[in-house]
Amino acid sequence: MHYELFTVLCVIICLLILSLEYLWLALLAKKQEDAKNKYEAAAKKIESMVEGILYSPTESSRKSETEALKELMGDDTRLFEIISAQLCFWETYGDDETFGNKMEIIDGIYDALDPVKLFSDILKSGNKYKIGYACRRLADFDAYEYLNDICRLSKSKNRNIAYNAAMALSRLGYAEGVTEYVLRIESDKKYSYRIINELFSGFSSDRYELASQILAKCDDYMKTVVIKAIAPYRFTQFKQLYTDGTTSKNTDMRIACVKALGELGDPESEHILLTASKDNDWVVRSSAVKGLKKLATPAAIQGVKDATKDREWWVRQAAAYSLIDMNVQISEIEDVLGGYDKYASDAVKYALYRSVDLKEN
Amino acid sequence: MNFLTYVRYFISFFNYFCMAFTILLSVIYIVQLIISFVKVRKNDKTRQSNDYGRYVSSENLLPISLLVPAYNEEENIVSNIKSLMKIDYPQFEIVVVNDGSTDSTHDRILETFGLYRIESAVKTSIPTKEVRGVYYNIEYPNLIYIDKENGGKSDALNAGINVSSYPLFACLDADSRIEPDALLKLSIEFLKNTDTIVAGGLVRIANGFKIRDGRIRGFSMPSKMIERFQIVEYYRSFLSGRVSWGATNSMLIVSGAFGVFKKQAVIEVGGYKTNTVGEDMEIVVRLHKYMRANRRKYKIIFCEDAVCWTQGPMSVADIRSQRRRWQIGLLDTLISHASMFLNPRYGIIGLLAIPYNWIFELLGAVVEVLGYFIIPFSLVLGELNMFFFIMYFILAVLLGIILSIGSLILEQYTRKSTMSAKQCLSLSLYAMLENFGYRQMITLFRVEGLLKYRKLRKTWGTIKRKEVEQ
Repeated sequence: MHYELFTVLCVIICLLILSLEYLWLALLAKKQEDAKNKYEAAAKKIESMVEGILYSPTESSRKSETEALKELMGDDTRLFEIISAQLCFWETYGDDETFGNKMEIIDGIYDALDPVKLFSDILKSGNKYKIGYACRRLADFDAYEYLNDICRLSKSKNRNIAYNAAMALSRLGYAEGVTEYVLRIESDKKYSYRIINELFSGFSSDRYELASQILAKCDDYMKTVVIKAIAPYRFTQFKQLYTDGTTSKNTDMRIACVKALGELGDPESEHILLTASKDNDWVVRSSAVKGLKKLATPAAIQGVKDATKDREWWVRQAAAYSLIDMNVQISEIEDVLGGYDKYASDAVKYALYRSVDLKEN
Repeated sequence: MNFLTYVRYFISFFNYFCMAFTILLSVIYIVQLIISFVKVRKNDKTRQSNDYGRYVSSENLLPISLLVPAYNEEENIVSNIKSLMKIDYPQFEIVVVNDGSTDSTHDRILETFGLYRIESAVKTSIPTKEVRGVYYNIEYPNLIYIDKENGGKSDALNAGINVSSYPLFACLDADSRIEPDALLKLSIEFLKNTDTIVAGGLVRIANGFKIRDGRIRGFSMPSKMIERFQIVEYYRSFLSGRVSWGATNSMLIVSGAFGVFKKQAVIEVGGYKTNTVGEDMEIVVRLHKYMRANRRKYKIIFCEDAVCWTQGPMSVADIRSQRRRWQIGLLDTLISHASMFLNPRYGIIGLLAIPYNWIFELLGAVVEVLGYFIIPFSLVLGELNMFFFIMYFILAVLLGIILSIGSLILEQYTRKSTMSAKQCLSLSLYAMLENFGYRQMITLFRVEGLLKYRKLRKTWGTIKRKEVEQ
C-alpha cells in the first residue's frame, strides 16, 4: 500500500513539474518571440531614422529626430549597438556631398545618444556579466574619466572582468595599468600568450614603452611571450636583447628571439640567423629560415637552400616556401630541384605548385 | 522447485531490476538536465560580454584546416565546398578528400574548380590507403583536393590530416552546413584554454528550417512525423546530454558532422581508427585514454553556441540504418577500450562516463526490449500488480516528457526565436508523442544493431538526404 501511495505521489509530482515546465516554455517562447519582433521592428525603424537624421533638411529637424532616436534607444545597449552598426555603415558608405559633413553629423548623433553615460551606468550597476562589455565600450568611446574604475576592475578576481578591463586599458593606452595586469597573470601560462598578443595589438599608445615596462619587471616566461608578441612591431631598440636571447639555454627564449630578430630583417643579424638555422630545436631552425627569407642575401639564400634538406618536414617546408618568397630564379634552385635529396626536391616542387599559376606559366 | 518457480523468480527479479534501472537512469538524466541548464544559462550570460566578433581580426586566432571526406557525394559536394568558402574565418583551408567515389564526385570537383594535379610533399604522419593525387588551383588558394583509394571515412580523414597545413582541423560531413561564425566560436575555445584538444559543436536537424549560406531564414514544421521526433531527440541529446558531459570534461563523443581538433593530439594517438563505423566516438575516447594515461592536462569541450545543420533521415529505413550504425559504433568503441571500464586510472572517464555508456546507452536498449516481452508476461502470470504497472509506466513516460520539455526550454535559451512560440509549443507535443511508438522503434533498431554487430560493423549503409540549404 505504501509503495502504491508513493508511486501515486511521484506521478502527481511529475505532473506538477511538467505543468510548470510547460508554463515556463510557453512564457519563455513568447518572450523570445516578442523580443525578436521588437528588435526586428526597432532595427527597421532605426535604419529609417538614422537615414532621416543624415538627410535632414534643417538643423532643428535633425535635432528633434535625434531626440526621437535617443528616446527609442532608452537604456537598451542592444538598440545602441544596432544604431552604432547603422552609423558605421553610413560612416563607410555615406556620401559627404549629399549631406554635408557626415562625420560631424555622426559625431553629433553619438553626442546626443551619450554612450558613455549608458555604459558607465552598467559599470555602476555591478552586473558581473555586463561589466566587461561596458569597460570595452567605454574605452571605444575614449572615456578617460573612467580610467580609475577600469583600472580597479582589471584587478578583479573574475578573470573575464579583469581581462576585459585590461583590454579597455590597452585601448585607452594606459601602459602602467596594462603592465600591472600582465605581471598579475604572468604565472597563468594557460592563457597569458593570447592575452599579451591582444593587449599589444589593441594598445593605442607607445607599444615600445609598454614592452619596456613589462620586460623590465617580468619573469623569463613572460619575457618570451612578450618578445613573441612584439616581434611584428620590429623594435630595433631591443635588437641586443634578441641577440643575447638566441644563445639562451631556454628553448622558448631562443625561438622568441630568433623570430623577433628575423622580423627585424637586419643584414647584420645574418650570421646569427645562419647559426640558428642549425640549432638542435626544429622550431628555432624553422624561425631562422623565415628570418633569412627577409634578408635575401646570397648567404641567406644558401642557408635557406641548405634548410630544404633538413631532417624535419616542417623546416623543409618553411625553407621551400621561403625560397619561393625570396623570388629566386629557377636556375638558382635547380640544384635542389634536380638534386639527390628527394625530400628537398619534393618540398620545393610542392611550394612551387602552391605558389605559381601553372596555367600562365 | 519446478521450472515455473524459476521463471517466476526470474521475472520477479527482472521487474525489480527494471524499476531500479529506470529510476537510476531518470535520476542521471535529471541531474544532466540541471547541470546543462546551469551551464547554458551561465554561457548565455557570459556571451553578453564576450565580444567574439573582435577575434576575427586577431592575430591570435589559430588557422584551421576543414576536412571534408566525400564518398559518392556528387549531389552535395560542390555546393558544400562553395558554402565553406564563405565561412567567416580569417585563415583556413578546405581539404576535400575523395575516398574512392564511384560516382562523378571526382569529375565534378575538378571541373567546377579547375583543379590540376600537383606533385605533393605530404608528411605522412598517419598511414592511409594510397593517395592517387593531390589537386590544386592557385585561383582557389585555400582549396586542396585529394583523390585516394577507398578506405572509409576514417582513412579519408587521416589522409586529410596528413595533407593539412594548420594546427587545428575541423571534420565536417559533406552533407552538413556550419553557420558562418561557428568555426570562430569553436576555435576561440582553443585560445581561452590552451589545454583544449577538442571542441565539439551542436548539431541541429535542418529538416523544416530554411537555411541559406549556413544562416536560418525561417522555420516551418517538417511534414513527416519522423522528422519532428528527431528535432526533439537532437535537442535532448545535445542540449541536455552533451552539455552536461562537456561541463565535466567527460564527453565521449564529438559528432563526426562538426568538431574541431588539435592536430598534434590526434597525430599523437595515431589518427582515426579505420575499421570502425563509430570513428567519431572512438577518437575522442582514445584521446581521453591517452591523455589520462600520460597524466597530461587536457580539455574536451562542448560549445552549444557553435552550430552545424544536418539533414535528418526522412524514412524509417534510413533512420534504422543510422541508429544501427550508431549502436554498432558505440559497441565497437566500448569493446576497444574495455580496459577503461571502472578503471580509476582514467578518473571520471573510467569511473563514470564509460560505465554509463556500457550500462545505459548500450545495454539500456536490451533491457528495454526485454521489458517489452517480460513485463506483459509477468502481468499474465500475476507477478506484477496491474495498478503498480500502470503507475510505473505513466511515471516513466512523464519523466521522459519532462526531459524533452526541459531540452526545449534549453533550446529557447541557446537559440532565441528560431521558431515561433506556437511552433515551439506544437513541437512539445511531439515530446509526448515520441513515447508512444517512436521511442520503442528506435530501441528495437538499436538492439538490432547489437545483434548484427559482427555482420555490419564495417558497413556504413546509405541514407537518402535532401539538400540542407533551401
